[in-house]
Amino acid sequence: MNSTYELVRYELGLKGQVIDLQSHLWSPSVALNTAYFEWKYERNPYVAESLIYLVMHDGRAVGMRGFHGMQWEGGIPNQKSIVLYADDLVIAPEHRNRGLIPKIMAAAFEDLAKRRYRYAFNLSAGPITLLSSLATGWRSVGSMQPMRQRSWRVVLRSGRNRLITRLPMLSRKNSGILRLWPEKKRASLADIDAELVRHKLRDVPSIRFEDVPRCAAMAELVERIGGSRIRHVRNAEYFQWRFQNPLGQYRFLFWEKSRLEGYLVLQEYTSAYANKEVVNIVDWEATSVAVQAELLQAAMSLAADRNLIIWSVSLCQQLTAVLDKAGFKLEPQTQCGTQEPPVLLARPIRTEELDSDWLFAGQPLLDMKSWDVRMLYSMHG
Amino acid sequence: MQSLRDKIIAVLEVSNVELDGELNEDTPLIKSGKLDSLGLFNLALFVEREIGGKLDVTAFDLAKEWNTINDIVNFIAREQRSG
Repeated sequence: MNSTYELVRYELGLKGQVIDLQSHLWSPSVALNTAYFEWKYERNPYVAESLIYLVMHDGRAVGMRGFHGMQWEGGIPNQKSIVLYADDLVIAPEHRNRGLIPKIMAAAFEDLAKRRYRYAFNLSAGPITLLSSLATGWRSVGSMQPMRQRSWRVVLRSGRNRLITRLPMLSRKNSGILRLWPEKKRASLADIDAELVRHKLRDVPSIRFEDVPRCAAMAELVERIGGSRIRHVRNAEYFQWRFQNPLGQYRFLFWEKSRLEGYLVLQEYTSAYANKEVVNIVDWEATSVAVQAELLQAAMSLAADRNLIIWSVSLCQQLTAVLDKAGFKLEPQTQCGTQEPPVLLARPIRTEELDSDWLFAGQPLLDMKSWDVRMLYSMHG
Repeated sequence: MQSLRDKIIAVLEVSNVELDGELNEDTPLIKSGKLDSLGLFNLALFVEREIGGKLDVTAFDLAKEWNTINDIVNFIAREQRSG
């Protein structure tokens, strides 16, 4: 590495620079990036210090890798542990391809080895981060197997836009296409009003659509359903913090009779960089498959003009059958370097543990069957 | 005709891999940290072209199997045989 680069740990005085640097990754908005940084690193309920590693050049931050805390659980009896989530890898464009990523990763793990954490996970690596991670000791547990339900309205919008971009500039303004086929504003989750909800959900009186999470009831339901696979500790504190993510906007479907029997969480991105045609189903829990199926139908009717995406890798066969019947299709595998589907990456913090058995709560980390993964556990959600 | 070794060196050169000493078949590329993300990306696309099919980079130990030019040559030969 060129000697003009210096690797340092984040300190408060560098906050502004980190937020500027993340305009290459999170969003172009300083206000949104500041809110995201504060939510993720300063208000993280599991790790008090901001574990961020920076590459400095001429006094400016030009590269970053961040780690924030998440509490995971699994096994019988249940064991809980804080695991670091590696994220936010970015190098300023003019400093890319200079060997900075391996150096920043090595420096980060050397420093983190002095702390009490055993593993780091990553559920949102892009193609470049994936390759860099695999070269530095990370292992892939497997693909999240995203399934997508394509909305015919998105297909129409895309077709219209493709057609318009092919028209010569002058004729675009006068084109009959624009008059006959004006662009209909894509509805945001925030646009779903009470009247629409009443109309769409008139046949399913047990389902409520709400803007805010019912953190205590959701946590109680998760506890009641139980499980031994590796998953986030979804208690009330977790839900309270998690849905404050400013890069996501969330809406909630609840299925209840005398008490909560199921919920489904919809999320859309707020960053200008993000795909606005997508709504993610980031969490989907219920005491029965029938309740989950009703929640899914309600979600599809409320987000009918968007593409719905869910990670299916941890779902039981009955639920993938429900998705299949509803028109969800597995996203195709693509080329290695271009658009790898989201994968689950894991790595022991200490290099000397790379050749040992990787276990969490007695379960093999590299076996996808050990995991109960939802998009909510990742920064995709 | 360009050998596989020469093609790999060409990919590394295009990727601006900084090599302090002379590059030979056993120069560590990954464990030394010399092969950065762009180099890995270009290498992955190159290997995919050579084996004539899709490459699942998560299915093998990239740090071990692509660490040197010799390793990459052996990897491609193995994939071509099995493909």
